[in-house]
Amino acid sequence: MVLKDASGAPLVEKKAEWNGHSTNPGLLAMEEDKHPEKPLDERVATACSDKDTVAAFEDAAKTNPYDVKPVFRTHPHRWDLLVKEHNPETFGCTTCHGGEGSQTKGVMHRKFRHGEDDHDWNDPLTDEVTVMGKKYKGAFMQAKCDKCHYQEYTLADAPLLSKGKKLFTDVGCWGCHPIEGYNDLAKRGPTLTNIASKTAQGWAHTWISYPKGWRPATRMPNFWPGAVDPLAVPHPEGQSAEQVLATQQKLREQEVSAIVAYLWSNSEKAPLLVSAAPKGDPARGKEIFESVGCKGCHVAEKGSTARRSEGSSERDYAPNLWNVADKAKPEWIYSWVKNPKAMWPETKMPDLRLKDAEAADVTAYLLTLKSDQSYPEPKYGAGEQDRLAAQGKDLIAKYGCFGCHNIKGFENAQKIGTELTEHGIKAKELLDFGDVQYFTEDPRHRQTYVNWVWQKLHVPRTFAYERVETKMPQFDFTDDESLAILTFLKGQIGERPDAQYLTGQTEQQAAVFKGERLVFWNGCRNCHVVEKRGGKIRDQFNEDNQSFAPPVLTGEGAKVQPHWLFGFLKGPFDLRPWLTLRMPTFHFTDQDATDLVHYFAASSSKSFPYLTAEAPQLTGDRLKQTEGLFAELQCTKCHVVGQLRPNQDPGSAAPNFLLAKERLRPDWIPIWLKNPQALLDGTRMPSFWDFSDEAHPTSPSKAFDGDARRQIDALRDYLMHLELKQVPPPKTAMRDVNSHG
Amino acid sequence: MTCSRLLALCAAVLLPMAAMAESIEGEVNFTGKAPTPGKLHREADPYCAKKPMTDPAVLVKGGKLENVWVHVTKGAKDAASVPSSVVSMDQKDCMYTPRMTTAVVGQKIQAKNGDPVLHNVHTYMGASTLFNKGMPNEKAAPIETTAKDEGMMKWKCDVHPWMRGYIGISKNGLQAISSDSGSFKIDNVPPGKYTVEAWHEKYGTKTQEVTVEAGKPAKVIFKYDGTEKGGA
Ligand SMILES: [Cu+2]
Repeated sequence: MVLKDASGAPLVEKKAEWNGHSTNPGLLAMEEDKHPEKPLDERVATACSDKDTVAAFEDAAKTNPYDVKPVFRTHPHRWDLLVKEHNPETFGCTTCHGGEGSQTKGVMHRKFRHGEDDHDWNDPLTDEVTVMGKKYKGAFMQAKCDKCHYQEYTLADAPLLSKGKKLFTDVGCWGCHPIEGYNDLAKRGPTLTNIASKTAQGWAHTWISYPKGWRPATRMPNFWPGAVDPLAVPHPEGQSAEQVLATQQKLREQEVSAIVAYLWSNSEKAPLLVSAAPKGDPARGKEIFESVGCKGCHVAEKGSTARRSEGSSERDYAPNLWNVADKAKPEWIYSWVKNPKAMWPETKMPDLRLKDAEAADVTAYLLTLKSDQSYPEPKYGAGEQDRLAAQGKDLIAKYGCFGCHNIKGFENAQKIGTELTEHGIKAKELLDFGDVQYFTEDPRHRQTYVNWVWQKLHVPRTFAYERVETKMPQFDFTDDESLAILTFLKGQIGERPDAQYLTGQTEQQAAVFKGERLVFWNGCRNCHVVEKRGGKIRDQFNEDNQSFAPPVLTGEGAKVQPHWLFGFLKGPFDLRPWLTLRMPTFHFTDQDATDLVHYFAASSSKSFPYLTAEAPQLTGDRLKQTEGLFAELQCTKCHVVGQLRPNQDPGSAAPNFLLAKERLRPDWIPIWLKNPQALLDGTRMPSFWDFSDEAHPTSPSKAFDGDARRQIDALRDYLMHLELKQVPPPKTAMRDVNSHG
Repeated sequence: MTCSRLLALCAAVLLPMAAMAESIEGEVNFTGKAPTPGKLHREADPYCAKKPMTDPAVLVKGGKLENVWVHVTKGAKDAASVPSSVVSMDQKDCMYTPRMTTAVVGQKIQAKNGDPVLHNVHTYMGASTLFNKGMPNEKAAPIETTAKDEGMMKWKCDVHPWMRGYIGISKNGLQAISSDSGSFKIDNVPPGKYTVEAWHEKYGTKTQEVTVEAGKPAKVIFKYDGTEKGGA
């Protein structure tokens, strides 16, 4: 990733540039200067030991000095990505292409040059992979990026790997599969220790039986795929599809009843705030739901795909609420929206600081969101629930439900899945293809690693046979999703190169990567543009009301003071009280808030912790001239001082000047004033000075002899010391925000 | 006097003109119920408050729609020569004047502030900002710019959100704005087949095909009923 500072200049770790082997006289001269002692040709040979290839380099270099290495010609973005970022002289070939050391020739009778021949890397120097007879380009080269970039969630040049990693994290594969780097994440699914306070057994039965049947975009997988599609499980000899389906459905009915019985027998009371939801106004609740920010993460419309997770276009970021009243009890909904983390400490859902009446209204609205489906409650005979619960306990242990959910009695249970830390180099002999024969009949369908993973992801029970029961549930991954996960898995090789090759080794990069994980996990990008990406909720806004949208947080670290940001993250307040959207309280720990502040500072290459920048107090004539300038530019036509001016249209309101001295970095103010559009494209803040000719900037004012730089510095100092008493107080109360939609 | 008697003369005068250019003319009808322009909330700025105004976004008179940009999008062969005149967009009484005008790619555009209060000139092409400059008062130096790309250049003031202005920019210069009687006339159109597009700030785009023949102006009628959405 390329980091930029506030002025837009790229901020990258300096790496040795490819100093190749060009006949371009300019480049050659440059290189001779730097390494006069070492002939260029020799250095090429150390990158690739293949003499034929080297000879080919030489040849092509004669005709096109910029295309010095024909072998690299097919590399995507070869100048930026290969030559600049991964100079083959430093990284060699096998770092990315696999294989041993600098080896490029076949070893003995083995046919491969780079790559692992037993892993169906069918053309070792390309990134193409054949899965189930179909060729996928671009996949496996990206898998190798994870070797050094394992701390990063988004690699611009490895979109499949990034997607796979996000999907892997998001879906919660690590709940069952131990895998280094993901083992300490919070459980992906809601706690079930208080499930009886949340819903009824009838609903839980329907849900567990087939989650996607109830909510198609859920992450929760199907544990009885054969009960939905008989082809999802191997057929015992002599059984028809109808018979298999009937058997599977019967099995599901028994097993789900047992699991539900266990969960209800072991559910504690949730810390509900009320025993019955207070009466509320659903219409008002809908208004609140649509205006405070719920829609950044949720939709409440059947079939809507507007809020998908970052890792998958198939799965919702947060539950679609169109039928939520079928599921959740009124008193639960009320308590939940008031403070989600009290009910489930690890939930991603933040606290919107709803007042009691607001929560009651929102609850009343959510209770209107229901379908006409019915969910019959189980009736237990004497002792039946206990008997079922005992079976349920074994089933929960078998299926590993505790991998994603907190369940009483399974606090210390171990993950039930295969370790994936080195899965990418697993030999196919170690993969159990069971009784599945069809791979071998068609030469395109060979028993290969990728075919096995692909099949496992699509139809996880496919390899089950008499002696071996497979337990992996079916996620209904699409081909796109499967390819992404396959790419991610292929990159898990349990091997890390020397620290010098890894990213994230500098303090700055480490802070950025750590912060990116927090940003991803907490869904910050659903509302904010964070460092140039995200801001989904902006689809609710247009250019006329864009000032009501959540702020863009690109370059935030260059803009705000760290201690202010820390305080704001810990206890957000209404920075712009005229907005209806609220920054929710995430109840960040001190560590997470510190990491986020550090993230923003590092992303803007600002020092962390903060170093005070000077903004001298204005006095005498300088103060007088600045006051004149401040009045002349009419900054308070938009900028609020304390609160909105009488009759001020909230659509025209700009941030409160009184917060500047606590909030803004003084060194940011002049950069902002010089050219607001450069920092925030499309901002409503106009430029008053024209710096297109840096030597002779123009100003609309005669203050300070018309000197733009002195004017800007003076305004910075003025703002950094601004007190309410310096500006005339507003005369009337603030206008009703809603009257001016 | 008829042409039959002076055939030679008639041919000499009429034929070259017909071959050179005709016009596309017509009107923009509004068939729905015309909305009553709402009062603009200009109270926030005491200067603007002195002159109450209603919203000029939709102007309908006698079933005719004003301020529709009608322009040739396809079929024109040549780029127009760039007029030496300057298109002006002024800010007067906290409103852009004119509401809508046209420019040819390459033509100079100038913006002045005639008010003793701050306006910021925030221009857009689509959703992208072109520039955003503050003009604190009538003494502010005019903004000089040049029409760069084809399309609708939108002008907004963020201090006074009701202020809007529009400059339709085209390469071929075959364009007009409908008048208060809904009529428009695009001159100097060589014979040929054209696609003509109408654009209204609230009701968006309509297109029509038209064939211009030598010797007679082509007629185009656009119809809006007020249910359309689009524009900006
Ligand atoms: Cu204005």
